[in-house]
Amino acid sequence: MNEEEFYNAKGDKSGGAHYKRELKTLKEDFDDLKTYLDEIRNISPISVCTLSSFWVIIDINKTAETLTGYKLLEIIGQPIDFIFWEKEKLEKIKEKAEKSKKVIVEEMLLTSKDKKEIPVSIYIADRKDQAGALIGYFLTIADITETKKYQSQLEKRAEELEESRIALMNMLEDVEEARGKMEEEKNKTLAVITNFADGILVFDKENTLSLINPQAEDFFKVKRKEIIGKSITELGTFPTIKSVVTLVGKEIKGIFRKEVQIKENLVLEVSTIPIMREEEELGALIILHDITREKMIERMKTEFVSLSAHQLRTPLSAIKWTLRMLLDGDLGVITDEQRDFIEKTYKSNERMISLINDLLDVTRIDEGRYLYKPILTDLEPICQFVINSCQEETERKKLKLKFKKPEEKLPKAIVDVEKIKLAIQNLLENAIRYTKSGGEILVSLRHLKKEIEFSVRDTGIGIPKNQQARVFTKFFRAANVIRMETEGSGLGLFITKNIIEAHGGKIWFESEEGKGTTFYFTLPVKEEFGEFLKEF
Amino acid sequence: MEKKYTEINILSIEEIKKIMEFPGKVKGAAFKGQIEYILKKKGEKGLRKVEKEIERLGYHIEYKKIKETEWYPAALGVVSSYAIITTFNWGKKELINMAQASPKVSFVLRFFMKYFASPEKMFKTAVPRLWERYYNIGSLEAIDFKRTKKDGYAVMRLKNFKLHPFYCFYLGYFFIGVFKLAEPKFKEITVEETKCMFRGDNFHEYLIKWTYK
Repeated sequence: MNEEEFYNAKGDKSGGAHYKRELKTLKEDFDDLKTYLDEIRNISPISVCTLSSFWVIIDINKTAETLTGYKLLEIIGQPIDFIFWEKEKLEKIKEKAEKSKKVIVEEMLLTSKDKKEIPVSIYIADRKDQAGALIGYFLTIADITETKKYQSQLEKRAEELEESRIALMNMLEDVEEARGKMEEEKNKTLAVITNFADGILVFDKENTLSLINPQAEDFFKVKRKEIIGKSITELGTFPTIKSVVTLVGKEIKGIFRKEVQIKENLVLEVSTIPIMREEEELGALIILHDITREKMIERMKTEFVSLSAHQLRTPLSAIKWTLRMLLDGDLGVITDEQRDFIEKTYKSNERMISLINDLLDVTRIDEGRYLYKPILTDLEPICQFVINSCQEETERKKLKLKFKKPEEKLPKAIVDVEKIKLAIQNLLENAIRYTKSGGEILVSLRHLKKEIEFSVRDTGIGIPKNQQARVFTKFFRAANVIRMETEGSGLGLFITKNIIEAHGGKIWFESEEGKGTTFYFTLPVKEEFGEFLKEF
Repeated sequence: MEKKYTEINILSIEEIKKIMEFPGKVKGAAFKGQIEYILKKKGEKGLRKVEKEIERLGYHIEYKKIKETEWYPAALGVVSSYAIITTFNWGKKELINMAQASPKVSFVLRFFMKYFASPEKMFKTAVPRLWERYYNIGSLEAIDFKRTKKDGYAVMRLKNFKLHPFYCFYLGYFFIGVFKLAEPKFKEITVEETKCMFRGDNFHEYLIKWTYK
């Protein structure tokens, strides 16, 4: 077939001119198409690889070159595992791609030329010819380094959150455990409080009642629900609680073992304790101890002592006067020997009368019947009187007794003269009694700002340190005193203290065993008497 | 007997002139692989140097202007290859690498991927057609193909194409480059020109043998 016959066979009657023009046009279109594809290939921001059906890389675009770090000649002709080193995963993906008709999407690690592992998402789509036969694959690779980084951060954050959650759960468990323990402790405490023999009132920071135990309910004859949540002031409106509220005050001041009579047959000893947590005051606790029985026993004892003393004093007085009559010779002449015996008996009887008088004073004090007859007077003559009355005894014991009077005239004080005399006498007699011969006793009076201070200083045997706290209690006699076998009922200082305090004064002492003792008391003057006078 | 390639003879200007008298043409795609190889190894400057060497030999090529679909004198492929070797004083190894790299970047070759479904199909169908896409002279025939799990071989026959022995060598490794695109698992692949028109044969015959990994 010549050229003319060839073109005729192709239907071109122009001698090949049309055919050649058409070829030229097709070639130009092909070149344009290639240029277009090259442009797309070069500007596409996504990495694209063309793979043969045997998973050989037969083309990559510019972005893929950049991503992998390989040039065309280095990577084309290489199997896909040239850049994907996860063999098992890759085999699975290949198998999946060969079977599936869908686009395969997976995450893999791409190993670049510089051996850097880059996390990527790969999309594999198969290529088929016009007959539908597989001719290869398109592989699109997206760098997900940043996404992975964020994902990693998110996972890390999630892990941290999980750790925090676990820590929180642990804390909650600990808190729950602690709460359980606290609840247990609270129950124990409540059980203790509930079963406590004493009444207990618990107030919060605002002085509102937050807890009352059954014992306290019984004392006040109130129901818990009636008074819980009420302020201390409101509680004052309850007749049975009023006296306690009056005692502790609106601010619940600190008191210790103060007695209060709730009703005829109920006496409580009230103490308050602040509830503290470190430096913070959380509220206050009022403890009510029922001392009704103790008070009753005490009263009965006092009554018994009083009755006994009265009953003893009458025959003792009779004995006294009989002995006196014997000594004075009113009942006839007695021998010297008889006189000696009778005098000793008389002195012993006097001591018994003195003891009985002391006991009666004590019972009057205990019963609150130790009456006072105050008058405005000078203390100096009273002191002088007592000193004079003791002069004989001091001389007998060869003691140096001095009275240091104030330089200026003392203000007058309102006192019960007989009682103050007794108080001074008790102190002075003690000084004389417990000071050995040759010792010194100094009585002083001085004017302080609003008080008169009296003191008796001796160089006597002193009071042992460990017994000083009990000096003003009933029947107290120091150990060293007992060893001396001197006279004394042990009631003098108790009576003295009550006399001084009944006058609104204070009494105290300083003592050193073997060196001496100084007793002081003060009595208020002028306006200080205001409150004191109200008592009469 | 295996043909051993020893040394590339220095071509004189006269010899090159004679080569250039070869009537056949080749598609610009054939130069594409050489261009990429030079760029990779020597960069743009290297490309300029080769162009100058070709000038020195009395011809003119502007590599960047070569279009893959245009026809160019087939002999220019020999001149180009020769100029590259001489410019950079490369030896056999570089020539082999360049020949094998050439199919990798061929736009034309990508159209043939549809035939690469299997090595056998590629060999029997693509090889003859591929020649037609590249050259307007001569023909390439698939003669024999055998493949086992371990190894295989293929025999190809090139007829009516007598350019230069240097180019016979180059083509052998170009064919290997094509084979490597079809299948990547070769442990070893060799080519031998068992028959050559320059040795008095009527055609060139290439025996390609391989073993698998």
